[in-house]
Amino acid sequence: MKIGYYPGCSLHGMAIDFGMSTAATCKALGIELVEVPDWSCCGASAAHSTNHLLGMALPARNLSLAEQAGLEVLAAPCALCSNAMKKTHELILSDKETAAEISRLTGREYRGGVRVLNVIQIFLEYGLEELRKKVVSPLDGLKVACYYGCLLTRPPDLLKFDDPEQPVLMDEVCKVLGAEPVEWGFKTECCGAGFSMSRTDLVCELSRRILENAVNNGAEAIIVACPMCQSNLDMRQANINKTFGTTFDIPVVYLTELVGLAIGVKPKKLGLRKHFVDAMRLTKRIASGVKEEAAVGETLSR
Amino acid sequence: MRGIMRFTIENQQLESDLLKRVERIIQQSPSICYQCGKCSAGCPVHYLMDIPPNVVIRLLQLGQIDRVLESRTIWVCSSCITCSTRCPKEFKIAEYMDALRELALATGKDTPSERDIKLFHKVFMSNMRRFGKVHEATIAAFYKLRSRHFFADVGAGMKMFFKGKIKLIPRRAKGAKEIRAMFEAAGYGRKEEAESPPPASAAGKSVVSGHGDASSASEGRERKKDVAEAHSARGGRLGR
Repeated sequence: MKIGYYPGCSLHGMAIDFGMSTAATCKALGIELVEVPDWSCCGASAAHSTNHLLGMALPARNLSLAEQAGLEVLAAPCALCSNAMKKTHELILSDKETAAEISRLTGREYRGGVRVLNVIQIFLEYGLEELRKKVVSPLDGLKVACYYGCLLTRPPDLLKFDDPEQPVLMDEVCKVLGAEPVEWGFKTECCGAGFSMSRTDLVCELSRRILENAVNNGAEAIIVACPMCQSNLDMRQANINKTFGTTFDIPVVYLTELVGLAIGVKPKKLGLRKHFVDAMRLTKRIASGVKEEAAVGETLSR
Repeated sequence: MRGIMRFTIENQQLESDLLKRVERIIQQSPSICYQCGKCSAGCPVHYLMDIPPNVVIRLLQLGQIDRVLESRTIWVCSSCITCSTRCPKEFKIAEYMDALRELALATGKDTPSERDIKLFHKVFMSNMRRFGKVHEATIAAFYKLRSRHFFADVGAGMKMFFKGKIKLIPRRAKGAKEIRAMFEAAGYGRKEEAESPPPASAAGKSVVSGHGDASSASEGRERKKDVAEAHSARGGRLGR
């Protein structure tokens, strides 16, 4: 399987672990990622917050470049990037005036020939049954809280992906890997996103609520699909514990890392060591589960 | 007395012009809202807002857009789109917030509080404008210098650096020039003169002045205004 790849700025920088795990996991699955030539920033939240034209034109440029390069399917693992590009794609197709305005700004044409995938859709596109066959170290009922955040499902009329209040598709992927998704109430609550530096207090408050709910529902790890969510829940966990006197100690891992672990990619290649809250314990947890299973199997065969 | 009345009427005229501009961007009128309050009930940052989201829409319905533009609400909104998703009337509140922020910056009516949030947006955008891609380390550096929060997150920053999460040297996109041209064409950071209301004939016609939607008689005048604005924009970027 060969698909286009738009890494976006953060997968080369702060979320390098997301970039590494996406590359390693896709390679192990036999998915070839072709990077969009000379891609530029999608605009993130700053663009649509301060200029509505740039908010559409910046993602549109990348869509045009992908189309020009003949990439019909484009994987954008970062939730912000996939959200911006999916929205722009729909707006260009639905409104001719907007389309003309955007191509005036970008100086490029976009005919709507690119289908953008978020990180969950990469695995859905690959096929859950196919993925099941690739699993070599099942996650042994690891209790995970699948956190979708804002941008994977909203706005639903433009993204057309899963249910905006109770999404389940990431849970489905985790089940295939042998993990056990917990029922919890904060799947799509906001973590504070881009306010991490400018309003740290806001981010800490919102992220605390999410961590609290996940832990109270018995999760051993939180699975995310967005670099901002990961950094707010992982890096800010220490700040949260300090501010609120809590004792959270829960690893926050990307879906690509979890899939990589299950299909036998080395943790180093997944960037698991780059997390703030130790995520390497998951490998031990999984390994012990596999050993136990083997032991049970042996006793049964005797 | 007559003076005050004239002032009020002129002010109302101005406010309704501003509202029309927002309506043109989103292509939806606030009048469809029936004030159920579901947006405010679900808003995660409601606790930091001076005006709840449903009251923002009520004020727009009453034509009091100035009070909204001066509010803290539009800046602490984190664009999570929960409000628009849950709205029974499918009113795009989150998108309205975007347009209101844009308008508040353009007209200079924005609140002096929440300076850090505006500064972060500004630093982020100018980084994007320069490199075509975003480089986190320079954003953090510029933001710290200008916000004077020198020592916030130093520990986290060091840890990130040692984990290889911070790239020191920015990578410029080959098409960075193209991006810069896009910023110019979109009129990014263009400030309007507060004292000059748009001519009555063009009211409601020019949403974001000079984006090719002015026609016939007003076209020449619009063009001239554009050139003047472009000149002033070169000196003064967003949020000055």
